[in-house]
Amino acid sequence: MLDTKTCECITKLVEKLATSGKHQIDKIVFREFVSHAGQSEDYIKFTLERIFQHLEQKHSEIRLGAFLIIDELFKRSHYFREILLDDFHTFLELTVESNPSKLLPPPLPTAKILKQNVLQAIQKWYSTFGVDHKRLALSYNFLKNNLKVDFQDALKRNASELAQESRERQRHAKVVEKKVQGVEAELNDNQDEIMQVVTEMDNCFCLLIPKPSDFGENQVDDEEDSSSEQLNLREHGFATTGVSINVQRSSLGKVVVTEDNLPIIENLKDLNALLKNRFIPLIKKWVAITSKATNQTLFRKLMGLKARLEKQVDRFNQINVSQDDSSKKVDSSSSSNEDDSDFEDVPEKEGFEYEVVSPPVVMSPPDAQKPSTSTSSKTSTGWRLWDVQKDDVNDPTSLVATLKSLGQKTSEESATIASTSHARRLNHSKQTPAESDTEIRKRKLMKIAPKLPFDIDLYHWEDKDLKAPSVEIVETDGHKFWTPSQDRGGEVIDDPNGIASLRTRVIEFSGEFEPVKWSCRAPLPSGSLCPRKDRLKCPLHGKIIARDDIGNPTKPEDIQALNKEKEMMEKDKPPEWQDPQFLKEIEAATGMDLMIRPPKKGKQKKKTFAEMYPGLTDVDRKRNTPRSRLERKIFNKASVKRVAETLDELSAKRFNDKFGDQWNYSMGNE
Amino acid sequence: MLNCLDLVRIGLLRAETFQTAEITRRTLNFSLSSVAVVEPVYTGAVFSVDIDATGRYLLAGAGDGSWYIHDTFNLTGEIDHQKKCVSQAPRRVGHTSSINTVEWYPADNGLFVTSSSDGNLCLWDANNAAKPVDKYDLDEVISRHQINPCSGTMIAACSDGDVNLIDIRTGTAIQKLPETLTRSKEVCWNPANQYELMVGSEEGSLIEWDIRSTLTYRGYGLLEVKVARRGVRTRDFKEQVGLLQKAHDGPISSIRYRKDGMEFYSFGDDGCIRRWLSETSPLSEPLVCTLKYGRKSKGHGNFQIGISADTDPPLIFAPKGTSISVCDMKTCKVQKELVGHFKNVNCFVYDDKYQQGYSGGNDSAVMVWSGNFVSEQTYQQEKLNSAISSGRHGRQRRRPAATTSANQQLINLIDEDDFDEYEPASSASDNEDPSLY
Repeated sequence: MLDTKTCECITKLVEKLATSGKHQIDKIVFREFVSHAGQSEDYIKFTLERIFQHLEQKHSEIRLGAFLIIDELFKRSHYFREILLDDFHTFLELTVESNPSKLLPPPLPTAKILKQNVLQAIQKWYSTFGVDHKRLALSYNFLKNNLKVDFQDALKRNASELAQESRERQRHAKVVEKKVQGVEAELNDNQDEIMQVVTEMDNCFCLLIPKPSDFGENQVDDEEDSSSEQLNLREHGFATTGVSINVQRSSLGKVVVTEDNLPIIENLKDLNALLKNRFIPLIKKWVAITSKATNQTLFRKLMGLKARLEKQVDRFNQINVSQDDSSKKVDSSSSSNEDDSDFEDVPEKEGFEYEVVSPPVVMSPPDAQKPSTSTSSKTSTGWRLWDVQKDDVNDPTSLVATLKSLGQKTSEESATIASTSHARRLNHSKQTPAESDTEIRKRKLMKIAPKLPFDIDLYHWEDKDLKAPSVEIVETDGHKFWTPSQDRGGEVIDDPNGIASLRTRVIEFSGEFEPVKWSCRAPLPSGSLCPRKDRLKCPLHGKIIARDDIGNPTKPEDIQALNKEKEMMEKDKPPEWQDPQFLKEIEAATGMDLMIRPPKKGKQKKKTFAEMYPGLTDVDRKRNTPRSRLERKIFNKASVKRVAETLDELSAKRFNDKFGDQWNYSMGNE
Repeated sequence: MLNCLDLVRIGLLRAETFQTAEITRRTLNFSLSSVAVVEPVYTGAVFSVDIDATGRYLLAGAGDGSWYIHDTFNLTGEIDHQKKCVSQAPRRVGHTSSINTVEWYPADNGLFVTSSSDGNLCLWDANNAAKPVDKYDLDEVISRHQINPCSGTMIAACSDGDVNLIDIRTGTAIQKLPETLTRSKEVCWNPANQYELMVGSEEGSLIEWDIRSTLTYRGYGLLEVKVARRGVRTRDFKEQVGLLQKAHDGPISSIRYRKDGMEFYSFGDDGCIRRWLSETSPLSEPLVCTLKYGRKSKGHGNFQIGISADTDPPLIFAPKGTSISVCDMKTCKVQKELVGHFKNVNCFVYDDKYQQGYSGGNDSAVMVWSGNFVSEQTYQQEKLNSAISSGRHGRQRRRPAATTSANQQLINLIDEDDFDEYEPASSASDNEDPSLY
């Protein structure tokens, strides 16, 4: 008969041994385990069942742990050997992949170790117990002949693998060294040329941009002056030692191309191209190679060189070369003289766009909408036919752009017309001075009056007796598939909205983006202020409040709220003596765990795999990387849907505005 | 056993009864033999095994087209022995693909027949196996053949769903049984009536032919036996197939007759073994019982079941995955599972004379199953004891005395750090704790 308590003990100990995650068995635990398991044959049988439970887990580390117990017991107990050998084919299937359709579970490195260890153990078992246990001999032969396991190799594997690894590493190091040597040789070949280019560029810069020293100013004097000034200031109570004034220079200076400096600039351009296209990529390649080398001197040297070249390129980019008119003319004339191209000048195609300008999409977060008052005012005045916006000019689909292109086309005609009309207007004003009053009034009113694009409501503006619009059902006459369920052809249905549909106008408002002009500015541990620009709430520091220069809140209610929060934090904090180091020492000395753990709130969480089995690697764990976290948020179905909806809505509004009178757009919106 | 012997001697027990009882006991005690091994000469899966009439030679056909003959007698003088291979297929002669069936000539061990997937059926002289004596080319895969156990001259072979009858005296395939709208897979002669041939098909039908007149045949169904005229291939061929009586839900892999021909057992891939009465009048119920030994298997199996003739409950040894089920066909129960193969088992043959079993499997091994477990164990123990007394393991002396008491437990707790040369701890523990056995 089996004792329940002993069985429980065995189960617990087997689990402890199997899930330790170590590659060696814990001798102390094992001794305790044997004291329970070795009581009778029944217990051994029970133990084997428990071990097999662990052996069947889809986790190679657990399997390895279970195998370690089996190995120990196999050496020690005859009865255990017998009962294990009865199930030996299952054992082989679970540990050495004797069934090719059932592979070992992850983690793979451990699976490899497991397989190797088992094979080594079987070899040992066979050499000692093979005579007594026919089944073991049969299994050994099966593995050897059928699965082609080379036991000699399995024994040597460990040593030979290590040797192989070190050999591989040496070989790799040799290859790298060879490559580095090659780089060094190349560098020696090219260094002179590079340095020459750099010097040339330096000289060009010198010629193009005069240094302050060239003007004969003595900087030493300057410094002396400033130092004396500082002394003076100090006498006046100003502490100016720490003051430094940064003068931002937008560019190195504007260089106007003249006939004199043209060759220099040309030369500079060539040199720059040489650096950009040839030397910098070359050096980048060398850097990549030398970064793997053990000796880092060459690497550092290359990095320095690279920085220098990049600086030159930067410097060149900063020079603002502007074409001088005279030179331009010379240039163009010379070029036209020089190249006799076969291409004819073709007049530009009407309405041709060099660049396709994508319609500007303005995303407005829901909380960023303006207060309602401004919205209403905007709606009343914002929709003007002639409301010129920057975007609209670029957007070829907009009315403004069309008009602009039309205007360009007819500029000559209009010039002539304008003169005549101007003359006419002059006449007109002269003729009717009396009407000026009404005209002024009209102009005044027109200024205030909302201006709207022409629409159906304006069309029916003056119709007093309107009839509700109606729709006549058209019979899809004799169509094969689309026959109506009831024959309603010719029937007339009134519009459900009635007359209102002819009197109302829908004005879409897509809002306007308002950039965030403030930052969080909560004090950071580094001493600086939080630079995050959020609209209402910083994800790190909470609600955004008014703060002074150092980052302290200025409004009294904010200060109060912050203080309250702090108090709450202090309350939750464990007392000061709860230093983890100190607690550990106490635990080591007395064996008592004095740690105060925060009370668990709400439902207790299910233990994670890592908590349950600290020694094992979590096979099922999803990768918790910044990328995956972002992916989860961005590609979240709901958020994708929301963004798509917003974009759709915006574009629908825009199209409705622009092409609302066109058939296909007017149908697509609803 | 000794008690029974006394009873026989006194005359209270019939000798036959004693014999049956002892044979049954041994057969039910089957386990992997711990003393005998078949020499591991195989390079492919073993699909068929057979024991000759004398019970001495074991013939096995392998998946690579080779066959091997093992001498099962132990003439080495030691109990621990290997069943040596005495003859094997010559290279480059004979079969080119896997051998599906091997069979000894029923009367003696001078001749045996092999048939293979390459469509050849070969007759071999067992004493001179340099090349086949006769070869019949049937063009298509031969799934099974059997020599008529009564006449010994007629071979029925299933090739490509048809049954061919070959007369080895004339050396020709003399007859082809008419089509029955099904694909035949298994043939078995009735050992009592030499003209009755049972055919199992891939569709699961059992058809009994009288080869003297093939105008009619008897189809075995679960409820009745129907006599039908031989099929004519007509337009409604498929409908006729549907009308056929079915004995199994899947292909029938193996049929075995009882020695007296009164009963037979069919082994189907649908996971059932059925016991049938063969001498039944039409329209009577032929099915005796059904034993469900396992699940429906997926692939086309090539299985051979073993039957023990003289045991009291008739026993069937059916391959089931990596193990062999010992099926009691009287009570319709699986008595035991014989575990030992590492891959699927294909065939089993039961040695009537010496109560041993041989099984072949996909792990290219033939395993020996024997019933005299106790004697083997005793032998093992004796061997160990003698080894210890002769001081084979010198390390024993080095062991501290304290461990002796620890060995009262079943597990040795000697901390053997130097297990590279660890000696069989079993020998020590067994020595001190014989109660283990």
